[in-house]
Amino acid sequence: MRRYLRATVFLFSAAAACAQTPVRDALTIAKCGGCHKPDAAGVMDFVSSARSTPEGWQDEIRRTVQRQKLDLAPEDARKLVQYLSNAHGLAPAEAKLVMSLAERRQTVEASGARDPLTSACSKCHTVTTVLSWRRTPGEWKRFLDEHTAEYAVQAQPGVLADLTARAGYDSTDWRAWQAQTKRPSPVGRWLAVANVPGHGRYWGEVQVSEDGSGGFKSRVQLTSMRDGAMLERSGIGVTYAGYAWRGRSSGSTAAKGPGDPNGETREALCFDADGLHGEGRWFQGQYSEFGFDVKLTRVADTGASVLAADPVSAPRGTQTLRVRLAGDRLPARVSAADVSFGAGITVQRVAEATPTSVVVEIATARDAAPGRRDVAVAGSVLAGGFVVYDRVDYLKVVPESAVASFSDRTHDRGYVPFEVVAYQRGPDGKVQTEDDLELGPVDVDWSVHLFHAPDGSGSEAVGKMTPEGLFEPVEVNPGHNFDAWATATARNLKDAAGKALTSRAYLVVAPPVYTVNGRRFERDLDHWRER
Amino acid sequence: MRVPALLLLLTVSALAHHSWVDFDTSREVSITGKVLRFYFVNPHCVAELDVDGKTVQVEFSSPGPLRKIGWSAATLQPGDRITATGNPPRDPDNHALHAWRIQLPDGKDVEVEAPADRAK
Repeated sequence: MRRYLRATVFLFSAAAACAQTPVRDALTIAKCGGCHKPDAAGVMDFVSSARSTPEGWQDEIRRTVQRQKLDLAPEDARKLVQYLSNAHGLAPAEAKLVMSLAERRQTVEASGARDPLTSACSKCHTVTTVLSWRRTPGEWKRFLDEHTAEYAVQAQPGVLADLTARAGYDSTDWRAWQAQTKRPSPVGRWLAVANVPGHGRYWGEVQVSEDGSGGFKSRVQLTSMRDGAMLERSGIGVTYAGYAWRGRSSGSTAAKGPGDPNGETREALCFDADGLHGEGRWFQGQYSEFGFDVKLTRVADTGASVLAADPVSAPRGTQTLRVRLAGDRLPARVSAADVSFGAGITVQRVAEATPTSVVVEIATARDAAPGRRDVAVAGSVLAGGFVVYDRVDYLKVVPESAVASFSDRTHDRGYVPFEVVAYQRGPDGKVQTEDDLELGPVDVDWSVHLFHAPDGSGSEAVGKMTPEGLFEPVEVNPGHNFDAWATATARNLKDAAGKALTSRAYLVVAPPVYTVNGRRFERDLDHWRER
Repeated sequence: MRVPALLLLLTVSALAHHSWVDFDTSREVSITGKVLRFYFVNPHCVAELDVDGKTVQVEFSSPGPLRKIGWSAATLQPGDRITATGNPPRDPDNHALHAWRIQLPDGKDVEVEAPADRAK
């Protein structure tokens, strides 16, 4: 029996060891090896049993410096983050799942989900934060034991199994990434489509080149689909493991106000393992509330690419509508017959054609079936890129709930850029379900209404909406919070009773810092952390 | 240092939104009406009801606990006739209700507010 147990323990240890990654970096061994001693194979406890994002490793190193008094120069800290993210990081597919952290998105998670992990962890963290780490079963066990002891929380049944299953060290994606010998590179020319809440969609290109010192330079040229305005930006960046871009850029002209697309932004992008697509966010603002949602496609050597249509929908029975198709290597000579929008849509003529943009005039049949259509130009297809509809059922303000903040001596105001999107119910006949057709942005008028105002004050006490949908809090911090509705009223869309369609977002306008029973809480994204 | 974890991070629903002080916790009323719109949002959910031609704002819970019992943004549809039970506002001109129970169109009663949150 004892021999059996010894064999079992040996097998378990061997399996665990196989899943771990030896540390090969001299600086990491020198700085971390004092406490996390490497064995003969170079396996160090914790370091070899955990993987994370650049931000995850950066936080871990910062904690170690603060708690363990690790003596670490900033330059060495950067080198550690680079090595750990490269060799002990996430696979691109794993990183994509937790990109909202690096992108600094104010996301609302399904905090009431039924699984043990979400129930236990979402009381204090976003689940995404937890899932940004991958650990061996033994390392998750050690982590949970320490966590429950340090924060005086009860261990919840099922959490360890959930963590091991959902955020295990060994994964199919990790093994495939380890087996891939060539790492992607951001160098080259990329086609870009970006949505900027409050400013609409842009299309254009991003050029990335090496800067000669291990980093990269970027140049961006974008054109507004809304008004044709040009936007030029330039910046710098680094990658971790070839796919995780972290950078900084700014426009060629000075920013004229909060959220101006010319403003300086931080950048977080995730490229696919094959290096052909990238996605992420360029963001700015006190709470990273302004941003470009960016999608990149590497320029193909041959053939046309269609990236986006604008507008994205038309009601059936439309006699003439101009639609811009943005892309690359579009044919210089293109006729109406070369462009297809699918059943029930006639391309009447091509109004403009350049290598990056084709403007066509279309008509939709009175009996066209509502639904999505593929758009094709010269062999390139934009799947589901255009929608035909027969009515607008409802509007949705995006985001549906948000936090704005007053300023104080150390915090700028926190703004909220809103947009409004129209929808038609799908075949299930219900609103707010996955089969609903998204019809694109809508022109609206904005207003703000307080409810349950603590002192009976009006909306002027908290701020105002600009015509572009930006909520601007007032300068003066009243020291308490307000609940308000940001209400959008459509200018040209009415319901069956002839009343203008409306929608609202729940807006909380709050101070940046609270003190509760002597404890200080400071806003970070959409929550407050004790400082 | 041992730190109560619940105080490490507070979401909007826990800290930065109105209290229920505007509602009269000594009274319980039920109203029946037609759903105009349902906002399944933080810091708490709101259903706009048409009650005899008057729009009433019914407020309750946050999406998290309701997801545990299978709710989504599509649970209440425009036109659904429901009955909401809870505390009326202290100000009669405030057309609102802090609901803790909702009877769905199929007759099923659903607790939509944890007992601990009913009288805050």
